[in-house]
Amino acid sequence: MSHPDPREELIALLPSLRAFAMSLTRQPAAADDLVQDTVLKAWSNFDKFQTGTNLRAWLFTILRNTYYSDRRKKVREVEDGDGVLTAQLSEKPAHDGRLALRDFRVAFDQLTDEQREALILVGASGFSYEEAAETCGCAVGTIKSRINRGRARLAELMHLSENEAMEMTDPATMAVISAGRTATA
Amino acid sequence: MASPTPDKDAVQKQIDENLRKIFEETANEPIPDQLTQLLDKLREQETRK
Repeated sequence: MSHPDPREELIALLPSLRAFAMSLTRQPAAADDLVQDTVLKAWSNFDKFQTGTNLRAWLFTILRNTYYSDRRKKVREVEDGDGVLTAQLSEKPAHDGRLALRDFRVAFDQLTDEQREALILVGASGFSYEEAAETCGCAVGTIKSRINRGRARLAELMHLSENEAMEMTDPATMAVISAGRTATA
Repeated sequence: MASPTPDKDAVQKQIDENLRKIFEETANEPIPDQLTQLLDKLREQETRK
């Protein structure tokens, strides 16, 4: 057999499929249902998969199409009012100068689905811009602008705008920095 | 270490780092039984064809 069986390859890709599903649904149970539906669809469509092409992009495409078509079917019962999630953010970034993961997650959840998927595909799953564009059925430029907007929104939500960036540094470091500045001034 | 003068690049780096963390958190979890069982069933059907 010259090509690996896509059925076997699919199993190896399950962890990243689950992670991608989780970034879209943000609910473990919904993510697992989504992966399950994706596996079933993929399995019955393997004859349409062109051996030697990008299986990962193919599977991710099935997963996101399933997610978006489910989403369209559902009446949006709960539109989260802007204030609800924002209120869960802590006031300031973590004192050690790193983004607190919990806060990051809250901020991430506030992005649009399209921004989340673009960021996860390129920023975390190692997709190229081209692969991400293929997966999302859009232009490379669209992916790039979703990523840029997503990053800007995250920075804003995490109080990481460049003006406030100094807040990331703890008071002790700040003191050293400003002392250094005074010395060189 | 955060750079002493965090700029756009540093912010971006922290964002990407966190993106990878949330991705890997799920990706490193064991595959749930429900899913392994489904695959076993599918593979079994395949061999019977």
